[in-house]
Amino acid sequence: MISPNDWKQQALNQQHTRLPWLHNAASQSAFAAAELPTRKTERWKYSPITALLQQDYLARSASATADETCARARLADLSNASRIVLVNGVLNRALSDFSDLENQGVITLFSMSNPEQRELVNQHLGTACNHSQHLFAAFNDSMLNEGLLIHAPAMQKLAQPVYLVYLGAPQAEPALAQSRVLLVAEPGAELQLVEHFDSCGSQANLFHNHVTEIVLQPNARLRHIRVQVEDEALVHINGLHIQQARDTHYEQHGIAFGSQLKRNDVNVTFTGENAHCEINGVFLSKHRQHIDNHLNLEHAKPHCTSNTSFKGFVTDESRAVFNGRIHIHKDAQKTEAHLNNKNLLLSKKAELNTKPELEIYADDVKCSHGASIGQLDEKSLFYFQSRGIDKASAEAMLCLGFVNEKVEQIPSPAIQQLVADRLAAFFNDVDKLKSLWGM
Amino acid sequence: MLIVKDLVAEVDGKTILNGISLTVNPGEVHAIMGPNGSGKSTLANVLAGRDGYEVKSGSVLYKGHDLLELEPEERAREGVFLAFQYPVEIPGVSNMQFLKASVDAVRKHRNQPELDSPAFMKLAREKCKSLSLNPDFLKRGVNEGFSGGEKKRNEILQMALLEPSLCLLDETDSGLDIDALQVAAEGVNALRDGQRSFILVTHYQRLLNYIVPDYVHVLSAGKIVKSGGRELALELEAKGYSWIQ
Ligand SMILES: Nc1ncnc2c1ncn2[C@@H]1O[C@H](COP(=O)(O)OP(=O)(O)O)[C@@H](O)[C@H]1O
Ligand SMILES: [Mg+2]
Repeated sequence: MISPNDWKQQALNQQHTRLPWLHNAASQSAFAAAELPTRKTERWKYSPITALLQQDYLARSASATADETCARARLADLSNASRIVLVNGVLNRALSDFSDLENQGVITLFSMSNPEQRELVNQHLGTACNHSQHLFAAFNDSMLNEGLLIHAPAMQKLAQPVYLVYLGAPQAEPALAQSRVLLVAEPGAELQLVEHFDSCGSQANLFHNHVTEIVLQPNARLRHIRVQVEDEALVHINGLHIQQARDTHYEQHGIAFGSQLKRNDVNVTFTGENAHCEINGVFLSKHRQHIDNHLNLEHAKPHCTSNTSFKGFVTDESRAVFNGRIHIHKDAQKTEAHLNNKNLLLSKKAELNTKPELEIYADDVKCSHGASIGQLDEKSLFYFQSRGIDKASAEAMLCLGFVNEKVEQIPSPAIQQLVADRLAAFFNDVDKLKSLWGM
Repeated sequence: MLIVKDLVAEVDGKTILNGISLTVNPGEVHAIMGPNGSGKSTLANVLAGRDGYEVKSGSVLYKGHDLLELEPEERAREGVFLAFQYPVEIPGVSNMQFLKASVDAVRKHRNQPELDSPAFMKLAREKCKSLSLNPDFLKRGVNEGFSGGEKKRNEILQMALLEPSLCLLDETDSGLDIDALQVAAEGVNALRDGQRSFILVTHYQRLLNYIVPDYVHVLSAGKIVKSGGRELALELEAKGYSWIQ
């Protein structure tokens, strides 16, 4: 195992063919300046990056070939969506189907962008994310040689959802996959984005470092579904950075499985008044998985509302972290912000750290935050048993029910179906429920 | 059907049931009345097998077997059904899934063929209709956001689907308006077939206008202090419980 400092040095020394037309040339120095997570770093306190240091992921880029049958089997049945499939961060045309939106200039690869699109990228890339605090986003930036631009034109409602699939393929040796998405919704634009992270085969040799940036211009609306159901051997660090201008509406529904190391940063900044943000998520960890969810809501402007609600299912010997911070700036009067995190901790050997944080500098606001950790409810179990259902099946149904409450809110039947299938497989292999699960 | 003898039970070291004896024959309807806190729900819960109630002495024979030996789910499969005073809300599990799992478990135990989903769906819809429940209600989470009346009718629906031999109804009438009460009572009466037995736990005699009992027992401080026929309920209504304690 190498030291965190050595890792960063090695990352800085990477051969990189960054896209020459990208303006924010400061990125290399931004990466150099970014704070390295150690045990003393508050934001990484419960998530040591040991897994990242144990293998030489930086030695090579992951190869972009995937088994086509397996890949197709992973796809959700979103028939009318524009589908973009990236294998280990690289676009796979054969698996993708988005020529309509590509021809309209709504979706393009950075490498194939026209001057206008390049200007857009240069104008927005990296603006939603504070690099000094987000080392892995800075790292992503420093090596940026490809990315995906989604540009929703003003006053248009995109009929088809944009369906992004990030597939991991097995690697013979440790390797790095990076991916990057920039979504700019012009004033009054409306669209739906589905991000689906999945794998074909073991991801024991893969480190996936992903960043999505979302810029919502006035009155834009985005519905965002995020599904992370990859193989548990993966190391995945994911940054999602959202900027909301005035009168924008952002709604997210997410589900994430744990893995060897999984980190999800979600960072929302209100840059205009009257914007609304709704984030609904559920995370699950079992075996010896690790999952860390860090949310940060920057209420920098008045009259904005945010509603964040997460559930956690934590069992076996896994570890999960939830940190949700609402930061209400001095001028952000009339903010309404609510955040809660409810957890089910099933095993004595599992560990969960949940911390909702409220920092308020304005005086006229409505806020609430809360977290709870519980076990299966005895009354509910008895209710099942009194109907002839054995205790083991009752436990299994209650666990699924706990998670389902969030899944039912995903505004897409096809994704709900995909998630239901993956959840059945997930629960089927929970050590604690193994003998019990009879469905 | 059921023979309870000198049943003494504790909760948290506190004696709640203080020597209850009760015999219920097939087809009979027994009403158990009594003031709040007298132990009516405790008796129902002990019979259904809920954790946390410790039986100190006495016995319960159900169809000739020791009922207290059985796990709650085994009792249910053997035909004991408890309609809860406070049905539990279980978000995320649909009423349909719950009912199907329950009916599957019980039918399997009784060596009855499993109902496939369409057949079950049809059956559940019919039963819903007879209880004036909107079939949409099968898709909702178990008791989630149901009104008081809907929760109680959901209990009757489960009872109708599980076809138990012994039905324990714990204050099924409380919180129901007169129309809902009639619907629930009709649901119960429809299940009276001369073989199935009922124990109706109730605080008020109102329910007994609709489901006419064969026997009425008054429970006070964990003991049956008076038993009689239907007229006892009317007397209780006129005079209150104080004359009996
Ligand atoms: N789980 C429990 N824990 C502690 N006390 C209980 C519990 N259940 C019932 N009791 C007590 O037992 C007594 C009888 O309660 P209950 O059977 O609910 O009465 P009823 O249904 O007749 O109103 C009450 O004093 C009540 O406080
Ligand atoms: Mg009671």
